[in-house]
Amino acid sequence: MTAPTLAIEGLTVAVREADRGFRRVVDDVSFTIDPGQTVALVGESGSGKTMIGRSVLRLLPPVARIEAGRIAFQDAGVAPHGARVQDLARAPESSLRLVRGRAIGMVFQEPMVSLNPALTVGFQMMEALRLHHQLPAGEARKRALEMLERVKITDPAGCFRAYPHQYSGGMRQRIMLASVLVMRPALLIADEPTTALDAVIQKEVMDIMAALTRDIGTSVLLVSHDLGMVASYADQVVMLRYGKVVEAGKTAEILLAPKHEYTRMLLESLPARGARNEAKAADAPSLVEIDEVSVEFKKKPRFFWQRAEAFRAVDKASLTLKQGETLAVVGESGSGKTTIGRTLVRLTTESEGSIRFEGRDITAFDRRDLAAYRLKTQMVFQDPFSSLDPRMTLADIVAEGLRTLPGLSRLERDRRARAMLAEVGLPGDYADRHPHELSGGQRQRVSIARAIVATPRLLVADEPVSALDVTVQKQILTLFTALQKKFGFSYLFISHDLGVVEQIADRVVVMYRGRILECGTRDQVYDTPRHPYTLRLLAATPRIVRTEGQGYRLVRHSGAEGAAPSGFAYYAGRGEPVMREIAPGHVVALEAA
Amino acid sequence: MKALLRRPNAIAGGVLLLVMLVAAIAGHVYTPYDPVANDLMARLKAPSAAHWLGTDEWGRDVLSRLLFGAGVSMSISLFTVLAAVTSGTLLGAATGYFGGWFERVAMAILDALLAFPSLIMALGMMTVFGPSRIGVIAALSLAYLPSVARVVRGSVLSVREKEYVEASRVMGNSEPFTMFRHVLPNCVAPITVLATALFGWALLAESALSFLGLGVPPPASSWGGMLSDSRNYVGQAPWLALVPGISISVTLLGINLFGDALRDQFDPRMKNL
Repeated sequence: MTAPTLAIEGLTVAVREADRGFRRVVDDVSFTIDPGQTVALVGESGSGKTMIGRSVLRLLPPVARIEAGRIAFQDAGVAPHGARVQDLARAPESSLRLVRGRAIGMVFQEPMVSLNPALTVGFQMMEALRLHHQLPAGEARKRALEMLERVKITDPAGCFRAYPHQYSGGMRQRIMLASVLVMRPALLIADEPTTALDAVIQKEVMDIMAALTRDIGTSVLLVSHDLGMVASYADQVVMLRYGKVVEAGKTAEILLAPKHEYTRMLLESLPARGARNEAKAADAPSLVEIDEVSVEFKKKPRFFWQRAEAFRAVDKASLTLKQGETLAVVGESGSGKTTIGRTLVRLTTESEGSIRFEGRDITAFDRRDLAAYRLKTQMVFQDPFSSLDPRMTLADIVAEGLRTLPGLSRLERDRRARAMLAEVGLPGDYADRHPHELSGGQRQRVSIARAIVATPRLLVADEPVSALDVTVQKQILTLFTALQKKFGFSYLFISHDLGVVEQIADRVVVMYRGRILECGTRDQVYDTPRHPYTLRLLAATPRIVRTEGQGYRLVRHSGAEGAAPSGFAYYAGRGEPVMREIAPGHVVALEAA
Repeated sequence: MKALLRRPNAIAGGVLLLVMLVAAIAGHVYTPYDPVANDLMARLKAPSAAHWLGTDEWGRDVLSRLLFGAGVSMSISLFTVLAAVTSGTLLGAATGYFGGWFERVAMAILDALLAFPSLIMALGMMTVFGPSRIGVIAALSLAYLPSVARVVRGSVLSVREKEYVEASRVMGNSEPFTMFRHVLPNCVAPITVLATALFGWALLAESALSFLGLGVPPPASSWGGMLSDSRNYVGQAPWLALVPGISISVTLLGINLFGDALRDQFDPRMKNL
């Protein structure tokens, strides 16, 4: 049995807090990573998983310090005659610099900011090679190009000369991977490497990472909150909570047959398909009818005398939202799903098409009609940290939702706001607090309270749970369902998360590059998806579902990925698509014959 | 207000400002000597029991001139800051919030103005307005307006993107309401910081204008004027430079301390610190 690549023993990290001394964020954590293995640190925010990852390279924020423990790293590269073990927790800065980048590589969450925008990709890749391996420029260049090819960059030589901003998030994360793995490190620390990416791209990046590290023999420390992804890619799992190890072991044993209560609670919080309320949506009258709506944005011209170029965010989309139902719009970023929602609440204006609300065309509304309409439609935003005015108390924030309702005194507005806050689970003196005193989930509750305080008919929810931990996510989804039952709202639920959508939606619309590709009831779309894009989307989203007994199962939709049969329309530029109804209520975009 | 008094910054800054304010008012009500009366027998006298802070080259009492000048200098700075901040905020907010061709034209003009050092601008305008208190205020506030507008526009641009601003629109609030209720209050911090800095710049700029003979016309006293008059006598009579210099510094210190405390006070996130 070989020695482990990394052995962490009793690691304790504390963070200094204002006037309160030190608080332990990592508490007596021990685990090992064997050569070639992938170990995942899993936990909710505040579990200390990122701190552990950063401790290994001693890249902790200035307020944090390692209080105790050993981080034994098997450094096979430094001493040619044999492996040398270093304690990274105590190693001097000078020897850490030999380890960082060369023996241990790190990939961060934000691909947009982890590459230097001012330097070419090639320069950044060669920098480390030349620094640590003293390679001549030609040799370094050769290796960098090779690695770019292996992360499936189509034009490695072009990429070598290009700047990071010329690439999308997924491509940048591949480039990042290439530039880290070109050093052939013994260990790769990947901190939420694909969290900022769309499902399909997420899978591509993870597949590349898994294949490459296997080939090179690099061990991986994967830091993630995504249980489905961890279950698909990790050999071992270390489950963390409040900085302590809850449970650790083989992935299959921990995630699919959990023993610890906390792990089970997390798994139970994962979105799951509930029984669909057939009666709810069957033949309710329609509330919103969107007919052939397109939305165009003007790109900013380079010089002010130039004409602005137009970009189509939504391309002739048609959909119907019935009263009291939840219609989910799914798709990756840039698919136009958010734009549809924003057009409905009149934050953007369509360039063509009509939108009927309760039978009246809202595109022709004047000021007064619009004011009345705004009382009937509301929106819940994605980012709980930016959707509430930091200067106002919760009661004032929610009461503002009643401002345009005529005939209400200030006192009455305040009273209703407080009642609504209690309704969403923030009773009593919460009303006098400010947003910064709340957690993300609580803020999202305030955002919901503000949206529904004037009892609208339609609620547009734009990724309302994407920024939340799974346990909180579950609570908010439950709240959405309960409020719908009580007040009869219709939801337009915009999300990239197929799991969440599966739990909450009655009907699902799949969008891609501004077009609606498939639309049907939840069961139709999830069980009998027809459009190849829907198949790809489902195949890229691993889910953990409960089996009959006590255990869990990892499910990946095994659609015919990649094998796109001809006849399905993808996006604009390939001719006008035709929407064909293939089953009652199940519509798919086909290319015009 | 009570909470403000718990901040040491606010107390220290407030006391300094209060002293200066009392001096400014006192200087217009009573001074030991006539601040403009020459006494050529008592030129450049060092501080003594008769003249606490000495006399200047015309034999005028420095303490009297200081007290009278306090009102002149501080009112010039105060009104300059008020005028520049109010107009700059409105202009910056309007350009930042509404965008479009209005923004492009307004910003092009402001950028052009910003290309001139503000003192040069003020100089140019003084030749139009002529040397007077109002002239100084008008020239300085016009000179500072572009920088205020720039700063405000920058922070409006970032606040405008916040989701609570969109939420306000979705709730049916009018644009001006959204502007004054959600956008501007969240830009207060940089505006306060800039306003305190401007106050200092205005005090110094007033002295620079006086130095060039374009400030408050003599023989009326102002701190800047006193400072510039002292330049020929720094070796013989250092108190002539020290007295207005220290007064300007202390006032600036008071303004800065108080401004910082105000900024923290307006930010609910800092409430319990």
